[in-house]
Amino acid sequence: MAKRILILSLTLIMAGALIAPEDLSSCGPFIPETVFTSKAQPLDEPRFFGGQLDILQPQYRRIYLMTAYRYLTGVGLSKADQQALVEKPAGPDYFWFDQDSPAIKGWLDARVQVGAPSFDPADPTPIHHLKILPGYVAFLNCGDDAFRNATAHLVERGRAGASHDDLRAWVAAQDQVFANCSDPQPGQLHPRPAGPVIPAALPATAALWMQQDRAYQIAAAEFYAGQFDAASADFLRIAGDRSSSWHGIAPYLVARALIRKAMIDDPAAAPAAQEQLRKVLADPDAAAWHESARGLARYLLARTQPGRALSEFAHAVATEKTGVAGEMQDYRLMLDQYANRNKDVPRDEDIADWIAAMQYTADDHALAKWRVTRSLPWLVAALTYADQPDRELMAAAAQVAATSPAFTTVDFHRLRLMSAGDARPKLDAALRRKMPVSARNLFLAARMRVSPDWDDLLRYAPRTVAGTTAFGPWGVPYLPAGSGEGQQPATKPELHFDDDAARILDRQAPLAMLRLAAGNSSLPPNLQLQVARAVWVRSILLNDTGTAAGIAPALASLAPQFKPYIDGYLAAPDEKTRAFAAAWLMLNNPGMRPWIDSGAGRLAPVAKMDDFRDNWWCAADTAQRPMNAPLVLLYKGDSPEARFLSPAQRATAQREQVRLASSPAAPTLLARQTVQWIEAHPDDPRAPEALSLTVRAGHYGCGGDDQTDRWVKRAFQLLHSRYPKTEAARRTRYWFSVRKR
Amino acid sequence: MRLHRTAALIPLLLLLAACVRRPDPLPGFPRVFVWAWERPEDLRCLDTRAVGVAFLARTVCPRQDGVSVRPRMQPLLVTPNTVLIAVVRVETGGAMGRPAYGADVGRTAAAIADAAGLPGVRALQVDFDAVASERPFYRALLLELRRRLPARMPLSITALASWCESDGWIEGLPVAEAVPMLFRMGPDHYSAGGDFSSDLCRSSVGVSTDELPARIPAGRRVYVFDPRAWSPDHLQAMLRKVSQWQSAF
Repeated sequence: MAKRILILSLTLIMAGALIAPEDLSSCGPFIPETVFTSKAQPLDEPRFFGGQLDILQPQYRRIYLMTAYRYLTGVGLSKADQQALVEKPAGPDYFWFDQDSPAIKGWLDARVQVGAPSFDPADPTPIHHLKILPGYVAFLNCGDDAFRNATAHLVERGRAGASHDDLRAWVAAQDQVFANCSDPQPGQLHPRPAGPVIPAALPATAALWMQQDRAYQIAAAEFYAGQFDAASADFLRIAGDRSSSWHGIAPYLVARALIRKAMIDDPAAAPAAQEQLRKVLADPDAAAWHESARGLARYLLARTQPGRALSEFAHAVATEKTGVAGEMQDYRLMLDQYANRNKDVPRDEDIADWIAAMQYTADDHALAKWRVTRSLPWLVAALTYADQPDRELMAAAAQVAATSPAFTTVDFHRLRLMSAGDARPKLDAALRRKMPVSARNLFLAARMRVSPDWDDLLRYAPRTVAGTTAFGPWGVPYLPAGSGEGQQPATKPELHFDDDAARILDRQAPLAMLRLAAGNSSLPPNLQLQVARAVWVRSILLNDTGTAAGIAPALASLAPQFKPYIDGYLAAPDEKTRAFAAAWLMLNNPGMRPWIDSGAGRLAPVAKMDDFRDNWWCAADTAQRPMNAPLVLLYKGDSPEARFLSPAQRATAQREQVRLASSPAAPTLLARQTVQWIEAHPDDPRAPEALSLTVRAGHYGCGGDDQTDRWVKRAFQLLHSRYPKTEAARRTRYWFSVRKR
Repeated sequence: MRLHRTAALIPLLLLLAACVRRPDPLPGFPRVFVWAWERPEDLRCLDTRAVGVAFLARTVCPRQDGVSVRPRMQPLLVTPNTVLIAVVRVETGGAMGRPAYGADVGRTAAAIADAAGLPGVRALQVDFDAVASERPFYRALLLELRRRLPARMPLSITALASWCESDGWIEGLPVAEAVPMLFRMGPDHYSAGGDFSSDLCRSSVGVSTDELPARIPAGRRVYVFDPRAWSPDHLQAMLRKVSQWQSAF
């Protein structure tokens, strides 16, 4: 029964009892999103817990803000605390358990090796961790350490020369102990009977170690079976037996039995539990259990006197030099619960006030606090939320040394608040410094924001992918292999547009400038291709044959799979042939679209249909997602804008946007072009396949408009009336109405 | 002549067959179930003769190297005679391009079947948005699960509307019903008098209180999800709506 059992149990019980999510969705799908700068947590935890705060995000989870506060106040974290924080998941607590954990497997293997009968191999889960309380709430009854300790003890007894009969008897009793871990399950092929299973005491004739181990097994079985009074009494007896190898841990286990009693059966047991913990902490012989006992004491305090607990935890987290990781996790849990219940956290401790200000400030509180305290944490908070370059604040920011943990954050905000002319050379200098990808991406964004011309903007538009998340901006990002902030990526880093560049290219640049971007060497080939694709499709929609033909060779060069289609397009002798050649290319490549995406964009390859109907484009696809939070921090209330565009360029772009927005939905356009062509050219060998693809586009395209059903139905009827014997017709048994979707 | 007479009866027989309603796959169960998801729920106010509770009992994540389980952490309060369906959600990451290839069917089935042993549970419902490539796994999983469950315990699944409409892949699954989820996926399916083609999808329907369809065919067992914790007011409003549906047809 060691520390990890305790930590897991405490976390589980505490969260299970307190977490009350207000709003949930029942299911996915969970679409991966590219992360350039993480909103919710640093991408490299060891680096961050080691004091490299980079650009501190105000919406980081509270455990990271606590860490930042400690570094900004000069307290920092000991190596042991850093390690503890890295090892323990600091994100949301999902409480996943391995159905067949290595610890349980280890125990099952060990018991067989001493001759105990094996469980039925057809039953993959003979022992479970969890028990269900009334109200269908699960709690961790037997943690992995229980199984690891049993395994280690069995091996040790074997090494000490215990006989096979004694070991088998020991295992039989331990099987009874673990039988109490969970309730009988129908999924088990051989479920045990319901009710507590307590090993029988051994007679005085048995070997002393056997008697002592059995006494411990009886108390443990009572503990897992929920017989807490019996368990605490038996552990107390064991504590009094100085010759037992279990007497050291027994007083601590008395406290644990009393706490479980207080939490599950009878809250009145809490004072007795607190008193027992006090005894353990006062006993120098129980030093091995002091850290765990302190954790239990905090847990009890949080459950019984939450207000006092918040204040004490805050003070400890802000000031204790070492051994503070446990306090930080407990404080985080309590703050999370307050937030989940929309309760205001008391802000009388500076750290509590600072965390709340960093996360929620919408007024001048941070600036006011900085004026009073002149402290580094409040300088960071005030700069984070500053909209204007306050002279005093900017001067203080300029004084922060490059060695300070606040330096990168302060430098970023100081440059963000400067005029474009002043900021540009300083941002260029900042970008020459070594820094992690996520911070560099924000400096690049700040630099792009003050770009004086199109070429300069394109130079700072590409950003390196720092990670991916599948649960929205609050999800925990998973990183490409070998791409931690401090490491060299295992593969060449992927570059994409972030929301700021995508907005400018997609909505503000006229077609002619986009065409220039497609050939600009500042963009990597994948982004050149994305832009070229958008230019070509836009040209088709805008009826700009010259641009479409002009960009086509570049498109074929960037993506050779397009070449046969492009050749057909370029060789077309007239407008109608060209129109169908364009439709034919797009029908075969559902990733063709007039828009420029931020992040990795569409999930499926360009020639594949996307499972979630992210194919071609929707009618009037003008909605824009909000920018990601780190960019909002840069732009505040503004929107990214290419200020250098001339009025004529802006007007052209505006006219193009209006025409694009009024273009038909992709399935309508493709179906119309295809049907009209095939009605006039029924002998075109592509006809059956084109009609089949058209019907498919109606089914899987991104929505439709009021003309989609009409044209898709005509394509379907044409396919079956003119080409009924073809494989394409056989494959295309139905057409699907977009109106019924 | 006799042959002709018999032939003439065929359309009539077909018409009669179409009119015969499929027997209730969950006989004796209430006609309305509220889905109680992972949040504290006090449903002791329910009229247990009319409304049952389908509660999220656990979430199971099959992997190539094992099975992870996330148990229910939030209390569910019900009166002892409430008819309970344990819902087990299966998550694989299939939508993220990490489908359940090679996951252990037996272990996954065991992890799901555990929920059927919870006190008072009378049926099991699996909620798994399997992507196309996961369908063979899902089919095998349901077969194994059916084998492990007591013979008289109904096995239900939730279904994406597309499964019920055009795919046809759910035909032959060893389940009593497939509950088409009419939220976030096409709430107006029944508006034009249409219905799902799969027989498994024609005995029940799943709706959400924030996206209620205008109508549903009479006689369907209705499962209702609420994005927030259930309150007596919400329950009453929802029951009134279900009653309107039933009387509208």
